[in-house]
Amino acid sequence: MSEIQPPVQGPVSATRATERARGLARYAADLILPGTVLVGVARSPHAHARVISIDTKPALEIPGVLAVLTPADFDGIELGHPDTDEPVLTRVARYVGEAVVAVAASDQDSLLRGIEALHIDYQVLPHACSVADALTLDQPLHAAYPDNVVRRFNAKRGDWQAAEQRVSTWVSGTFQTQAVPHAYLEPRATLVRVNGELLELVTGSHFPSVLAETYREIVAGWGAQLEVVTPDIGGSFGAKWEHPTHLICLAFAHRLGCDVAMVLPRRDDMIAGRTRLAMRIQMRIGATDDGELVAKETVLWADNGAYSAHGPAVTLAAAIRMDNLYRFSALNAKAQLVYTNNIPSECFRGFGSPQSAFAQEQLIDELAERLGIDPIELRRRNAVRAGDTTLHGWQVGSCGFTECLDAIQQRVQAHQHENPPSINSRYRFGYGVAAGTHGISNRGYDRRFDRALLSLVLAPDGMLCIESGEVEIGCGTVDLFGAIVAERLKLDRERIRVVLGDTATVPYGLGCFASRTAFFGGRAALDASRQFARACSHLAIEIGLPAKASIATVIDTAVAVGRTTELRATGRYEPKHVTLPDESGYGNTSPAYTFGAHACCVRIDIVTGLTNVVHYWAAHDTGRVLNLQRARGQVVGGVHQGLGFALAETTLVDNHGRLQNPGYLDDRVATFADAVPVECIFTSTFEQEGPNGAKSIAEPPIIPVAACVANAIHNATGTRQRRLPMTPERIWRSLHTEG
Amino acid sequence: MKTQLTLRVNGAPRDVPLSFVGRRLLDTLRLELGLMGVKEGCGEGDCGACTVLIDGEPMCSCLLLTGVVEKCEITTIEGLPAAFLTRFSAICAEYGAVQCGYCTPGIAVMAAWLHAGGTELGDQPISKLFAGNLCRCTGYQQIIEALTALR
Amino acid sequence: MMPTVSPVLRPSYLPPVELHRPNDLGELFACVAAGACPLAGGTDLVVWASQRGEPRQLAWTGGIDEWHIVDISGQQVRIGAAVPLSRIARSGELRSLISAVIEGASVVGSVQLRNQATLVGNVCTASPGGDTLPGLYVHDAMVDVVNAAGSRRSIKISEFICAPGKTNLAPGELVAGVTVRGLGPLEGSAFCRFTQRNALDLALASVAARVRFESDEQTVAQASIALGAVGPTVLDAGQAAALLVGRTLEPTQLRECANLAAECCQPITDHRASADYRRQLVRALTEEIVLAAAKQVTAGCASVEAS
Repeated sequence: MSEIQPPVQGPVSATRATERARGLARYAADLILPGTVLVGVARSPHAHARVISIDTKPALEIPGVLAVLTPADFDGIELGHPDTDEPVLTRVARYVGEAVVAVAASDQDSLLRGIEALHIDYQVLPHACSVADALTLDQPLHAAYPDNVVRRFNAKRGDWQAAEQRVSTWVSGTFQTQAVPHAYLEPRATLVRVNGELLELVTGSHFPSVLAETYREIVAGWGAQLEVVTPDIGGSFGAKWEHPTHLICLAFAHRLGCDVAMVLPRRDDMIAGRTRLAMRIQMRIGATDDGELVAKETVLWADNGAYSAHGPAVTLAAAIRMDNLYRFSALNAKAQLVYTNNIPSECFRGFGSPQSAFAQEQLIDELAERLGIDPIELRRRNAVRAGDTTLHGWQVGSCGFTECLDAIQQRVQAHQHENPPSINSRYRFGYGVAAGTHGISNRGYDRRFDRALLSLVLAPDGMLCIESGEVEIGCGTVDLFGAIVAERLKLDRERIRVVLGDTATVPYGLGCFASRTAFFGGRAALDASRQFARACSHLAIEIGLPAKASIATVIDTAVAVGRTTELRATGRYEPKHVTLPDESGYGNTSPAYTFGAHACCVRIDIVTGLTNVVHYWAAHDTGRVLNLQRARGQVVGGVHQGLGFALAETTLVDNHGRLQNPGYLDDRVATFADAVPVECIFTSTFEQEGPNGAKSIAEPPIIPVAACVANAIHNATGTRQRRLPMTPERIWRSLHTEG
Repeated sequence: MKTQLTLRVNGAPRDVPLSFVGRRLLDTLRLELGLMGVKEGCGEGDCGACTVLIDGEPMCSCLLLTGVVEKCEITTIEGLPAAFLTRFSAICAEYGAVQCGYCTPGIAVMAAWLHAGGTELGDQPISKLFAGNLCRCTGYQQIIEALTALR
Repeated sequence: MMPTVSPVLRPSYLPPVELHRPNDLGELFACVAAGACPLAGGTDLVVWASQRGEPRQLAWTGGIDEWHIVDISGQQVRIGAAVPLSRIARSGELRSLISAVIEGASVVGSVQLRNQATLVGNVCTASPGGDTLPGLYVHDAMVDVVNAAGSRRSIKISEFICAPGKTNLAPGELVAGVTVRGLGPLEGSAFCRFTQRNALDLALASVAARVRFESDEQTVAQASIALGAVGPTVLDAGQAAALLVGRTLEPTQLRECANLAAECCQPITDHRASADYRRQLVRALTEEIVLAAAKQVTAGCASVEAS
């Protein structure tokens, strides 16, 4: 571990973590009261089909069935963010599992009978479950996109011609990455409580304030109001945003005038869930003889699935973000996002960068080999540094990238020294390295602004309430905000209550995504603490306390004399130097950037192709570490999700577009028995803009993993892996075709 | 004729309507008895979030029909000894073993089983004993560290 | 294009189930005669019922006292239909007597699932990849079948299981247990499987072997090999095993045997693995497992595993 400054938050104050470990946390499904009306949907068995007729009568005749909703009940409403293209209930099914009709019933048995009694006639249409098929399909999936191409991006920077002339060595390759489900442990659950004309949507999501904003507009048309209540959320990783189930439940609750709930079974959650965008990436990188990276060209096709969600933003990020890691002279990226009849894609931890890193970081490795330069040294020579403005417009503040590279080099060398290569006929050992970079939030996400608000409100019972629309999705935000405020105001953590994401009370927040919450919310918490302390000083004088009285004393006195309402403050953070990116993604989109370098040692069984990751090192520049255990948790967890992406997880779809592995058994999420020892290293970077010097750590750890393992496999066996996941069978096959 | 099914849950007799005989134990515990510490992650026995102890042995309550365990002692996270839970949760927080927390109750029940189980399985690695409890957040390392400390 | 009426893709909730809990065989047969499907551990059946919406009438077999019995008499072991995998997997005595079966039972699912799932359930599920099946094949398992009239018959497991998910159980018959022939002197058996994950996974291929030596402890007197997940049922690789008889386990013999096993299996290509990769796995596993079985004769058996 490098020298790091003491963390702000001791693990002792992890009160929310303690509650969760005692089984006291309440997720959306836990808040459903007995007698709540249950909702379910009939899903399309076809990948692409027009719904010709729906007969709901047999369902409505079943005792216990209370109401049925059909596509006609949602005419004119389409979901998606920022593009809206997804119907709530569909007239044209565009993937197997899409919701067509919804049923509400008084109990689960009636609900099932009702769904099974529905008659739905389809006209089956030709379908395409790959980008290649979709580009040649004469049937557009969406009328507005006749060639099924949702979006094209072009990003050309620098003087390509001049750069090209300086290149002495090119390396190139075509890489294929797969769709994977987010596989969070808590299946999607939605509860809507009815309170007069007010509909309370209880569901875990990345952005309750935005959810409320979107749905308020829709329910206003029904004459209803809406607030979002945010319970604990059992993981998301980029999956839980707007979803048709929300509106189905809202519509039933409004129509029936009572609470309704829908909890997806795991299979349904996977069939009708969301996945990482599968991508095909053609890339070439050119360098000079002395190892200067000069030019990089990317041509990328991304599988959007049936609907867009964050597909366009992810595609653009995949096309350009990883470029910012090195000081290229010229860049040329083209990307196409294509509709297919697959499960709708969604952003997923890393936001496209794990896909492009798989290509880029392997090619860097190949260049190093071709040029005869150590792969870490090649990266170090070309590494972006503090003060750089990259070709895509990133203004790099603090940057510990080279420190990360130094750290893993030292670890790998020590490991090699302790474990001299053994000659074994069956097992081959190898080391690999890869790097990654990520922004903190994204100014382009919401064109209006990128900011965070956090309020401190003294409740009449003397508890100090932290209220914010910046929410927690399992990363420890609640405990972090609590710790920052407790430390700044010198208050016991037990005197602080944290309320995140209940839109009736909290200020508007963009939410938890893009590795932004600790940074943006943390800055807002610091600002709120400052203002609250000032309010305390003012009140102290008024009520006859010394101006320097402790916050705790002021609060106690305010409670005693009934002046709690005067103690409130709203903190704010809005970075000054970020710029709205143009259509090609150019701009200083984040207030700070993170960097990381990984290495691993693998053991390959050449008889079966089985890859064992023996040891893993992850070095990250996350600014000052606020909570060491939490930071480690993000790194180790991210690395394991990355290992699943690299070696095992995938969505398998048959010729009819049906998901073949809708469950944990065949999706092969890592188990305890698959855990790999991960050594975490944090650099000594201090980010001036960050809260207490911190940056962020949620997404960066997943980015380099697949490339890192691929490079290690090459080092062990001499074969290059161009396709994910790198299953034992694929490795075995590559050993037998390449020698 | 009997109209109630009497279960023994967390040390006390609990009556549930006879209609729950053919329902999953998971549903009976959550919907009828309000024991929300028992979580449903997959409903197929692959994730372990719904783990309960049946006569002291861990099982997936999503695959058990309620009638099958009528004569058994059923223990959920709510029924684990208070001193154990206090220690378990403190160690989890200390080691950073909890992120979203959805898998944690199932792991707590497994840990309590191991804790009470004496020597028979004591030398088995945690990674093997807990393989039926999936966690998507942590990468397991810090849970293993916490469970090792608990031992 | 003609419109098609398609079955609705229903949510995977368990449908309302009528659960019978018979206390003796007579009641159980009456339930089954009335259309109930026998329910043992439920680790497969409850999942299927949730996915497919049926069966909706189940008769739990756990109430049949005599089906909970594990009976060891001499070399013969009889395991009742209601015995969970964990109970046999934790028995040191069984581990040395029917090693290949126990090694299979120890890797099924997880601690939780092994507490629920039964050996007979694994047999009746009749999956070609069932982890206990190759072991049962090399241990000459006989499936004990009873009918309502009380008559019993014993069927060789290889004849009992006839296709993926299909058995030769006649209507009105139930499986009461399995009887296996345990290891004798100079005999060893072992099982292993290949999975992508280290736990909670289905075998892409699995192999069990049983080897008996002559008194020199080097020459093979008798051998049997069974292959899992590489055919419509578990396959008896008799020809491959025969290659070993009368010889010592030299690397060339083992390789020849493994190659023949790989040739004689009938794998399919599906979403989990391709046929030729499965063949390769059989080759690798066979060599390994014949040696492991042989080693048991000299080195004794492994320790009690978690179950």
